[in-house]
Amino acid sequence: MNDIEGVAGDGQNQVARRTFLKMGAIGAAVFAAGTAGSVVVPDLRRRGLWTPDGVFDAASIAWANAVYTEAFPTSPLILSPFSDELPVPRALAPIAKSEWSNWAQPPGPGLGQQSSLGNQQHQIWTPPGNPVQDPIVYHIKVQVNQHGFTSSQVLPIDRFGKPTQSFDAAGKTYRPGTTRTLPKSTIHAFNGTFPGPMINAEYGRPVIVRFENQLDLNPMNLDRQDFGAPDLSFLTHLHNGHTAPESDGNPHYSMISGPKHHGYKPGMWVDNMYLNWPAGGDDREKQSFFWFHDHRMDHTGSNVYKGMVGLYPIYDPKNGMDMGDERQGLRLPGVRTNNPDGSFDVAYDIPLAFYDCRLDDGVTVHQDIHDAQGEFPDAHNPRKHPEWWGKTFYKHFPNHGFVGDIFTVNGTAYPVLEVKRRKYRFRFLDASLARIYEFKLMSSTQGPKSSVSLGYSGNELQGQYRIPDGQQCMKWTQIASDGGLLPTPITRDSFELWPAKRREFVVDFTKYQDGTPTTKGDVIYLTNVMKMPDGRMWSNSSRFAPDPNYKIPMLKFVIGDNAPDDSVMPTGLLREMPPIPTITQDMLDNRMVFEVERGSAGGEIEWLINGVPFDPSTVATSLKNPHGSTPKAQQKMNSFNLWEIRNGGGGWVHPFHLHMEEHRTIMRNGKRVDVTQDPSHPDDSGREDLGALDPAESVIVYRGFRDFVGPYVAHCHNLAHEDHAMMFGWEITP
Amino acid sequence: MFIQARVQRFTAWRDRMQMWWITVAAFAIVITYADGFWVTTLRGAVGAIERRGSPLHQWLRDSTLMLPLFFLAVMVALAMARRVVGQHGGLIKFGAAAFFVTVLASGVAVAELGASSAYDYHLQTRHLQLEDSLHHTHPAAAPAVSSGLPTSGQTTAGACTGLCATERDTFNVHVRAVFYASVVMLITNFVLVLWVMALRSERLWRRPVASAPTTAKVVAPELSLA
Repeated sequence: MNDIEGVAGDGQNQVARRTFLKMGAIGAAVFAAGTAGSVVVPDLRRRGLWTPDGVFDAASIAWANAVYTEAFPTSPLILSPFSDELPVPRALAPIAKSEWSNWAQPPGPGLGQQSSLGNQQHQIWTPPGNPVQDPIVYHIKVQVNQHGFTSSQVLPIDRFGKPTQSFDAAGKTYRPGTTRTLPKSTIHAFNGTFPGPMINAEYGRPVIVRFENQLDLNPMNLDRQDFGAPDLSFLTHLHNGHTAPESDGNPHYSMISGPKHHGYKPGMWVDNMYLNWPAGGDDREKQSFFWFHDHRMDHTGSNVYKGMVGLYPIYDPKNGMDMGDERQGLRLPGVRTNNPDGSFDVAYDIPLAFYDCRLDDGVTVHQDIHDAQGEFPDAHNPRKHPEWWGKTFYKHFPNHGFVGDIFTVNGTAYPVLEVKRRKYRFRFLDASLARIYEFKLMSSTQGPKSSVSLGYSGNELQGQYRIPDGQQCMKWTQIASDGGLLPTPITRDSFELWPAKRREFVVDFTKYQDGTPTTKGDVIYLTNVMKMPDGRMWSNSSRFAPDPNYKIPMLKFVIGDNAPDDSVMPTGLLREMPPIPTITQDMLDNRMVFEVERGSAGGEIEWLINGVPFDPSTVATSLKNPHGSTPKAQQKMNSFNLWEIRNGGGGWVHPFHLHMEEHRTIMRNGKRVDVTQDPSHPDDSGREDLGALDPAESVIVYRGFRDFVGPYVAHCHNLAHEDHAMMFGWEITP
Repeated sequence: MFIQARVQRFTAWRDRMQMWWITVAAFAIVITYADGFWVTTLRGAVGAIERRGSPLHQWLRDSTLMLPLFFLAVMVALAMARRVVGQHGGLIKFGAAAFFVTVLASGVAVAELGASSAYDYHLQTRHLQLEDSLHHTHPAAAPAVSSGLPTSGQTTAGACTGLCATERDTFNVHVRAVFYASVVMLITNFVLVLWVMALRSERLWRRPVASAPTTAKVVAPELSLA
C-alpha cells in the first residue's frame, strides 16, 4: 500500500492511531514516573540519596553491586542456641614488680625503652601533678590459638535454608542433613583468647602493657587460612585512650616513627603507656570504657576479625565516684573485690562485646584482591576450601564492610546469662567490623524460632534466630557513651551501637517497664532489631522503615535469685561536662573540613577523605573552609579547634573515629545540638570519640589537643573502609 | 552573497535529507542523555578517583558534548533505514528504523563508554603504581619481615601477582562493567526509540517535497505504517 494512499484513504483512523500512540507514550512515561515516585523515591530518601547527585550515586551503587562479586557463605545453623553460658571476663593479673624489673629489657622512661626497636621513648612517664610512681605492668602476648563460637551441634544449610553437605579437614564429605560439631577457628589474639584479656584500670594509676608478638610461634601447627596481616605484624590501639603517639598504635606514627613499618613484627615488643589520666588533667574529661584492638595498616579489619580485641574498663576512684563500689559515689551497680595480685573485679558490672562472623561452608569460592596481591600464596585462591568448613570466613575486598550471619557476645554465639534480681551495669562494645546493632530488651512467650523454620532465606537468615512474638519489656537507662559518663542519664526504649562505639546502661532486673515484678525463671532477650544485610548501612531499623518481624535474640537473660543491691538507679548529675567557649562565627569559619566519601581506584575500591586515599607519610589538608583557607591538619599542643566531618553521600553510613581526645558535637547537619537535639542522635549531648554519620550527614565537633605532640589518625571504623584508605593523618605540634 | 549561497546549499541539503528534524533531535536528545546517565553512573562505580565530581554536572556536560555525535548517528541511521526499506511501509519500515537507530546510537554509546573506561584504566594504573610504591616500598618503611612469610605485594618470577595482578583485576572489572553497561544501554535505547516513535506518531522521514500531495490537509505528509 502506498503510504500516502493509506493516509489519504483512512485519514481519521490514522489520526486516531497517532493519538493512541501519543497517549500511550505519554501514559507510559507517567506510569514510569509514578512507579519511580512511589517505589524508588522512598527508598532513595531512606538511604539519603534523594538529591540530584544522589540519584546518580544510587545507580553507581547498583553498578558496583553488579560488577564486584560479593559471595559469602551461609553459616551452619546452631541447633541449640542459648545453651552456652555468657563468658564474663575476669580482670587480667598484672606482673609483679619483682618479676618485670628482672626482665632483660624492663619498662622504663629512658630513651630506647619504649619498644624492642630501641628507637623511641615515652613522652610522659608520670602525669603532671601525679606523684612519681611505677606504672602497673601487664604483659600481653599476641598469639595464635583456636576459638570455638559454640558447643552446640550445627546443621549445615545453604542460602535457602536447605540442609546441605559439609566437609572436614581430612577431606571427608558429609551428606546433607548430617549434624556436625563445629571445628574451632584459628585466631590471632591477645594472650590467645577471644575476646582478649580485660584490664580493669583506674584513673591515677598508670598502666604499661607490654605487647609481645609471638604470632610466628605455631606449636599446634594451626592453619592460618587466608586472612590476618600476612607478615604477622600487629599494632595495638587503646581506643580511645588519651595516649601519646608512640603508645597510641596508629599507622601514621607507625609508618614514620618507631617500627617504620605497618606494625610490630614477630619477635618484637612494644610498651604502650596508658597514663589513665584525663586530658588536661581535667576530671570532667574522664572516660569509663576503652577497648584495645589491632590497628595494623591495611589489615586492621582482618586482624580484629581474627581476634585481636581486648577490654579496658576504667574506674574513677576520686571521692569514690565510680570505683566499682555501689556503696559509694554515684552508687552505680558494682561490687568490687580487690585481688591479691593487685587487680580487682567488679561483680554486676559486665562488659558485652558484640561481634558477628561467618563460617565457611566449603563451597564458596575464596576470591579476594589480597590473594591477587600475593599475600596468601598457600591458599591458592581463587578456590574453594572445604577443609576450612565451619571455620571463620573472611573477605577483605570487595565488600562494603564485612557483616556476618552469626552474632556473638563475648565470643560466644547466642549465650545465656543468669542474672540476680537486682540492678546490673552493662558496658556495650560493638567489636564488629561493620555491623550496627539496635538493641531492645524483649520478652517472648514462644521463644526463639530459627529463621529457617520461619521460611526465611538469603540475607534474612542473618542472625539465625528470631522471636516472632517478642515484645519490649524493659527500658534502658543509659549512663555513659564512648566519652564516659553522660551529664545525666537517658531513658531509652532502644539504642544503636555502631562499630567501636561503647554505651553503658543500668538495667533493673527486679521489675518490668510496667512495674510488674520479675520472678525467678523469667526470660528476657537482648534483641537486635536493626537489619543490616551488608556493610553499607541498615535496611531496617526503628528510625528508618522498621521491620516488625526482624527481632534477633542475641543474649538470653534468665532471672535468678534475689541478691543484695546497694546501687541506686541514677537520675541526676553523673559527670559535669567540660566547658565549651562561646563558638564565634570566626571559629566556625576557620574550622577544618574533612569529607569522607567512596572513591574508586580500580582493583580495590578506595574509600577517600577529601578526595584522596590515606597517605601515612603526611598529614591531610582540610577542604576549603568558609573562611576560604585549606589548613593542614596540624594543631598546636594544648589548643582547641572545630572540625567538621561530612559524609560525602553515596548511601553509606560511616562511624568516624578521631584518635587521641574525645570530642563534643556542636552542630549536626548545620543545627546546634544544644538548641535542637536530633532525636536520631540523643547522645550527641555527651562526649564521644566516634561520630555516627548517617548518609549525607555532617557534624561539627569541638576538640582538644592536649598534653602530647606527634602524629595521629582519624578514620572510618567500618574496618573495610579503613583498610581501604578511609583514614587521614594529622599531628600535634609543639 | 556568500552567506546566502551557503544558506541555499544548506536548505537544499536539508530538503534532500527529507528528515523530520524534530524526530531526529528527539531521538538524539533522549538517547544521549539516557546513555550519558549510564556512562556517568558506571564511572561512579568503577571509574578513577581523579574524575570524581558532581555526577549531575558531569552528566550534563558530557552528554551535551556528545549530543552532536548522537544527532549524526540518528540521522545516518534513519537514512540507512530509508535506503534499506525503500518504499516499504508499515512494520518493516518501523522495525528497520528502530533497528538502525538503536544499533547506531548504541554503537556510539558503547564507544563513548569504552573511551571513558580506557581513560579511567589509564588513570587507575598510574594511581595503583603510586599506591604500590607508597604502601610497599615507602622510603620510611623498614625492609619486609625476614621470617620467610609472604609480604604484601610480593611478586613471584613469571607469575602475575602484586601490582600486575591488581592491574589485571582492574582491567577485568572494566571489561565486565563495559559489557554489562553495553547490554543495559542497548535495552534502554531500544525502549526509548520505541517511545519516541510513538510520541512522534510515526513521523520518521518525509517524502520528497516535489511528490508530496498538496490536498491532504488532514494528514501529515510522512510515511505511514499502515
